[in-house]
Amino acid sequence: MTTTPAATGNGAAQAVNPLRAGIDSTRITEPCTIVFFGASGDLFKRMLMPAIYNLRLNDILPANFGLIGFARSAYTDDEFREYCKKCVNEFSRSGPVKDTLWNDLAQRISYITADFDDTAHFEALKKRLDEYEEHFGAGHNRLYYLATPPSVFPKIIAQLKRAKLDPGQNPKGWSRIIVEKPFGTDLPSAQALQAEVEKVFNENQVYRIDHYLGKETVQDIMALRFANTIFEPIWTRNYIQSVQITAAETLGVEERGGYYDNAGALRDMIQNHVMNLVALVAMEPPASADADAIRNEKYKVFSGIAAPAPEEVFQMSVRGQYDAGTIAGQPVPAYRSEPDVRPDSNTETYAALRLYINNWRWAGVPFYLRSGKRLARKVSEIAITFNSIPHRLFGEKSDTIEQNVLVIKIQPDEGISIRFNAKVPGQKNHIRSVTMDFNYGTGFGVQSAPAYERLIADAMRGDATLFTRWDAVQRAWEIVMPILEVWQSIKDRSFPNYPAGSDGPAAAAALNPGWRPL
Amino acid sequence: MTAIDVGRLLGELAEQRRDRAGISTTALNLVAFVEGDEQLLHTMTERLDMLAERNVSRTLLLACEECEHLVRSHSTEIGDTLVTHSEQIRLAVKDVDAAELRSIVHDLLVPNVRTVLLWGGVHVADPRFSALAELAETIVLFTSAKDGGTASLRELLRLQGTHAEHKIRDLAFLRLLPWQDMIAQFFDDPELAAELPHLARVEVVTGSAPEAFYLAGWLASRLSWDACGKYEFCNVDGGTIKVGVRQDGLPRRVHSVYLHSANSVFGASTQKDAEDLICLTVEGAKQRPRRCVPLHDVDMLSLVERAIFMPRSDVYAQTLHMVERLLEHER
Repeated sequence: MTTTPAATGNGAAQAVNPLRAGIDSTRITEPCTIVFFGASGDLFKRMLMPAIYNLRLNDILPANFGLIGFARSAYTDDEFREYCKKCVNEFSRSGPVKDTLWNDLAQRISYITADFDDTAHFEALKKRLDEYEEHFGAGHNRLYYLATPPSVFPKIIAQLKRAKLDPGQNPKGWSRIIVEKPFGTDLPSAQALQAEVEKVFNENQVYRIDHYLGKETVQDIMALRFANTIFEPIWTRNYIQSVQITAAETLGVEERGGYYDNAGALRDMIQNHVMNLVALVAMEPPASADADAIRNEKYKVFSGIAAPAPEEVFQMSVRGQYDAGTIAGQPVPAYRSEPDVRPDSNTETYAALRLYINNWRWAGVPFYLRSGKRLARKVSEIAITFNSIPHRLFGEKSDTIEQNVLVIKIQPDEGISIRFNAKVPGQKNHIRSVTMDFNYGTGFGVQSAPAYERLIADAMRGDATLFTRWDAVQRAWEIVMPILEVWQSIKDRSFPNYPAGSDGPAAAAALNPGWRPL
Repeated sequence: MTAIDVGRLLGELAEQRRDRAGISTTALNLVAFVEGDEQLLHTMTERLDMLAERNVSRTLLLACEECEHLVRSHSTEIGDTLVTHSEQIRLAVKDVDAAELRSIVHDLLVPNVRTVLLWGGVHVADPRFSALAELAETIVLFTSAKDGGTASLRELLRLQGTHAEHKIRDLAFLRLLPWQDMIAQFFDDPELAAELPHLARVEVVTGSAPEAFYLAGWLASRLSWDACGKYEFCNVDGGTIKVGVRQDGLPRRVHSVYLHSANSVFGASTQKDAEDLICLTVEGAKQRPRRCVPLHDVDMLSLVERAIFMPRSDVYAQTLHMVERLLEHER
């Protein structure tokens, strides 16, 4: 039996398990209790609880695991367990619960009906965590998940400290916090939230979640770039003409009108999801796969993007708002007619930007970003268009020699496609562009796990690679703030300026005539 | 001279590809040899189809029974492109000798692509095994597919030191991965890990002998035990560990593993009413609540994929060495 002194924080020697060597397992070995603040909300119901169950079903959760729900709605432990089971049955990708597994998991679930203003409820949480340690061997490792509205985040963080649930009061284990997006609604509010977070948690204990980063194809961008040699040499301004990132939805604001009308496409999608994609496409190869090595490179990309001056905003951006139109043959209302949306709303439901990254690799290459609601097709993709051939040798005069395009498809069909030119068989020298597709579903025959499963498991493992670090969040806000300010101060009188079911406002073509059709 | 016309078979494949005018991105050659086992042939045919769906491959199914030669391919429409996912050639090779078999298979493989041999023949001492093994980068064996005893495990041990040694993956060992993981799980708890040096008895119940010997050998290799008697290991302090191996239940299945220390008994066993669940118990001085976990990835398809894509580990070599030591003392 081998024992080595390990950094447990209390100086105790920790046993090394010799049976673990060589076992290729995804199971999280460290015990852990996860506390969901806002456990009666929609996110917990649709995403988080099904993710926890699937992690259990796939035997990824640690053997000694506990879950505590903490929210305003009144539930007993049994009622909450029943509620959790209902969430899984309704929303889990694996279908209804398997009873034997569920019974085992259910006994590790409990609930605290809480008022976030009342420190006594947080003290009750501390007592419950101690009980979990004793009954389930759940250890002193705690993962707090903020799944409440963002306005409550600072309150919860402050209460954790008051109730001695902060990392400083937990020397025998680790304490981490997952913060849901949006991290602030603008630069000052993000900085204010960060100031509250910093009072209690160190940066390496904070996991800012952007579920886009948990998607398989997003993770594959790095594999494509850094696990192959054929792409990286041409991944520069010398070969690439432009990069286009699209996050288009056919859906409107659904039941989120109240939230969305105060947010808009720039805050809701561009500042976080789309900017993260920019970083992954444009970053330099990191020295290692270590979380900070990767996040350092991502930050460098953002630091190479200049925030626009106010007078430049209308040259590098286009905004839009959808009017009534038709989607999939069905009439849909205008944005201003959606529930909880102001009838004279100036909020953009479409945003397009042209950014430049000022470094040797990317100088002069435009990055076109667009995101919108009620567009012609649901598609998220990154399209990299390569330069035209320098000199034409082949093809009949009537042939168009198209530029090579590499498309990384994020949703709905996850995969990669490459467009290139080939000779049409026959006597003549016709050239036609063809597309070679790789599709995750058919290529590997396995279904990608939902992003939340991956991200929750990574936070338990202490792997922050797929989470956003504060410096990057702050820099992304700094880049979009001038646009937000100009858009807020100058009302767009053309709104609504695109019909639902179209490719967006006509003005977007002036920004980039080469948008890929939706 | 055989009636197998390689040129005609390749011609048929080319014809099918041309008809589809799409893309084929073959990444794997799978050569499966099956002899004297109708059940294995049936399972193999079925699983190879499924495997091909998940991994773009050319499959050569070499059956020693009478059967029609068959060439077929499978493609899917992706957007406006037809993509060929798999090509399968089935041949009756009952009367084909080793040299001829090697030549035929060589000519039917996609060049410069990894080749995997799935050997379902009776003996690995068969010259046809050596002939096909030369063409393969990975050899997958099924030591628990035959008689359920230790004969095929002993044959496998005789391959040590040959050119095939480092290519070999045995499904009987790969099947144990979730069990190894679950046994290891007990000792992730530092308090329970303290019991490891005091283990005194290991009891394994399996449907076939290779799995049981592998489990015992794996434990020995991890815990620095050495065989020191019939069904007996000794630890570094000179303490003895008795090994109880019992064959019961469905072939190739592991049914239970119990580890006894002076203070506690660690048990992992399948459930009669839910065979895809394993319940874990710790009884005695360091008792823990009973816990049931799902048993994953022990179907043949997952095992073959694991055999193909996982690199051979030192753990396997060390386990095999311990199995050899244990079997030496059995005589």
